[in-house]
Amino acid sequence: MRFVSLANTVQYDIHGNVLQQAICLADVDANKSNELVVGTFQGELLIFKGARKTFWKKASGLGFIVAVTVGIFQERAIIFVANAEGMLYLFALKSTLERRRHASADQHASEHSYNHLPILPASPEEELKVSYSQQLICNPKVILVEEYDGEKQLIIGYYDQTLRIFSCTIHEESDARLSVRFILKLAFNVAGQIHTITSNRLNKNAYELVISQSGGNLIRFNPNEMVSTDQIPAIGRLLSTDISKHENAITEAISLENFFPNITQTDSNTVYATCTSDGSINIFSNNLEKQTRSIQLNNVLFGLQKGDFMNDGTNQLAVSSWDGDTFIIDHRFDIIRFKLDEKVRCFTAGLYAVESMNTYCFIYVTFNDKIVIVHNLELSSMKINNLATMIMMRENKLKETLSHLSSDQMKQQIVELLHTPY
Amino acid sequence: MEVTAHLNQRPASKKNGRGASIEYSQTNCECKTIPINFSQIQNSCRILSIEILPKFNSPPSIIFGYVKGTNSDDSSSFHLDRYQMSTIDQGQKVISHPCVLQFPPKFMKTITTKNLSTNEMETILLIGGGERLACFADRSERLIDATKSIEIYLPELKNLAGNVSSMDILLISDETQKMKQRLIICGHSNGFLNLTINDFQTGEIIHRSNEHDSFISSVRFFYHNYKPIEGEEPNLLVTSALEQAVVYRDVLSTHFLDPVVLATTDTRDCVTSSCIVDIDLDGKNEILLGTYGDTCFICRLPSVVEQQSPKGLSLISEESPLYRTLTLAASAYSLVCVDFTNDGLDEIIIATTKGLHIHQLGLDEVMYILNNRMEIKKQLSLTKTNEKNLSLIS
Repeated sequence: MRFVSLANTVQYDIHGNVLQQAICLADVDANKSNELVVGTFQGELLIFKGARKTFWKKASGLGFIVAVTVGIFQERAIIFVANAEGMLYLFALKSTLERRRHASADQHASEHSYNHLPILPASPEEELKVSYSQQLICNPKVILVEEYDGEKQLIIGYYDQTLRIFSCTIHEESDARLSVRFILKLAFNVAGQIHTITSNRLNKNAYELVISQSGGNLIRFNPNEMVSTDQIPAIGRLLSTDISKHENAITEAISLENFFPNITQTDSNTVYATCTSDGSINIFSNNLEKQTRSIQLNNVLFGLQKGDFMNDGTNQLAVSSWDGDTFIIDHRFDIIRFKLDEKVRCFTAGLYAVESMNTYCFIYVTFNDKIVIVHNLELSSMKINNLATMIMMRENKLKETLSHLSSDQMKQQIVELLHTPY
Repeated sequence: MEVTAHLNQRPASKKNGRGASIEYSQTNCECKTIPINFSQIQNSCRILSIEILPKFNSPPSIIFGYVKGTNSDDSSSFHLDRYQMSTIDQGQKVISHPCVLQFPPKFMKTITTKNLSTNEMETILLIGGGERLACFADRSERLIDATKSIEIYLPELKNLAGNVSSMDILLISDETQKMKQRLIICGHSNGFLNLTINDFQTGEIIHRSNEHDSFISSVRFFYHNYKPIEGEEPNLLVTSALEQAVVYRDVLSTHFLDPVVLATTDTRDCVTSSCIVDIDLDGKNEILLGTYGDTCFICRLPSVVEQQSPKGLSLISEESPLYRTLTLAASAYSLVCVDFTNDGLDEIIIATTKGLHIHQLGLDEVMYILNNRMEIKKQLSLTKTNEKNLSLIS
């Protein structure tokens, strides 16, 4: 295990509690850089952008927000917000380009009709307006937007052990309001409490779901196959594992593509990763039949995420614990550990644009009413590289000068250069 | 090529008698951990101190002092034993020649010095914890008590009190590489500092002492320049449990008379360990301090203002010398800077109560610096040859 100290952080103030499912990273304004979307217990939806000190957009009065997700409908990002009463709110933000176009059009109009009145710039605390809202069944826990055969589907997991899938059609009106139709396609009861739902794209048109339940039970199935063929889902499609010693351990699962390097078979490229609150992390094969790797940590783990944090072309896992320890795990199960100095109640990791470009960040909601974004991770490699190897790998003048020397002479030359400031 | 870096500071857990050595392989850039099982240590034993005993042409051995029995003084006994280090391929080897001591071995330090009676170089082991500082000699894989004959190894340490908690030695040679002076600083658990300067040319031994308020956790001699310039005097860094770290400047001439306090170094609990290294690659040494409060301070000493004078750190007490702070996972108890990867670049290795931190400089930036310096060096040598040619022509 390697410890790292990550120093680059951005902090935002936030009031109220946030649930693990009510935080996500997505490009909501189509500017090719991601924003942070957070829903709070106090019914506030906050969107943070870049390194500005406060939120960029805000909507309030949304009730007890339990889950937030972003789906792309006709190249437009739609934010889905679900509260505990089952109310679903949809927000559609205009892209930066469109806003500019509207602003310039308005400017021309105002110049002509309002006698050159100055246009005030949009306030940074611009209130976000609800584009659409609908009452669905209460007690949702997880929401997810997926596409099946050209049709957008809204998947909702409930606290009462039910999974419902709605087909979803959205049309946008000219004034940014939405016309929406939800049709219930499937309702499916599972045996235990649903903790997370993760989807894995099988091909361009189809996906499968893995539901994680208490005590490390996982269910993998293809909901649309169940609907279309009317098969009994237990035949070969429902699998469960038992990975936790504790019956009630909270379990999270994610599908993990490109975790193992140099795998040529496309069907086994995706594996599933799980973490349980009693500290175990497991990797399962593509069909959940084989547990390929396992490790036990001494922390209460939550917030399992994936990403190429090392910048080496493969995905790694990132998971946090309540006391602020974050673990980054690669395919060799080498672990990098980073300690945030505060207790953490919500964690996510992924691409976020602190400056103009999307970079991998760790995002923490702490118990001190703060969102801490750790950016510029620079976790180059799990391996401890050495200077001599790196010089030989690069084609530069340094290599030309040093390559003909013996290793001892080369080391002597490097020491000489390093400690002599010219 | 394989590099083995054995950490010479307490590589074992006191509780379960297990430890580890870390080995870095340059071929595949990976660290291997070799577990060490001190089989001699039973449940009722507690390791008090550990030191490495270097050996010519073979891996070193670990000497460990431990206490057997309960905490009450009557029933407990004190022992010294050794463990032969080896690489993982060679298999592990334990040599057990236990040696019973009359006092708790709380501090150990190995020193290679000349035996004045035989004129041969020998490695001796100094052990603190008793009434007087004890000395053991390594004879055919056995440790022999040589306390009574300490004068033939280190005459300046004769009659030194046994409550030593830290020690450092500095050898000063003249232009012909002949040993000129030997400086030994001993920090004691009651806050005393003992400085001895043995001048080999005159045969004079100077003893100086000073007092701090608390346990001396580390003492280090250091030069401000990475490559000491001619006539530069060494400085002395002293860290203690309750106070801020102190630098005594130019100890050779002023002894303890010119102290400078490193302000704000007591803000993260007590300083437990220290190290001297040129970590920012500017040719000047920095001071690294490991603290109990999960932090490692990097203190940069301002560069010398009076360029002409070889003496002196132009440091003002009121200024905070902190250059950077490394956050650690747990309390640091030992700190070393070694070239772990055998590439000419020093790594900072910090042992904490939860594990080992290895900090390495960003290699891309280091390569950038190397490239720049190489260019400048080439240009400088070119101008020099041009000047030479010009002078020859004229």
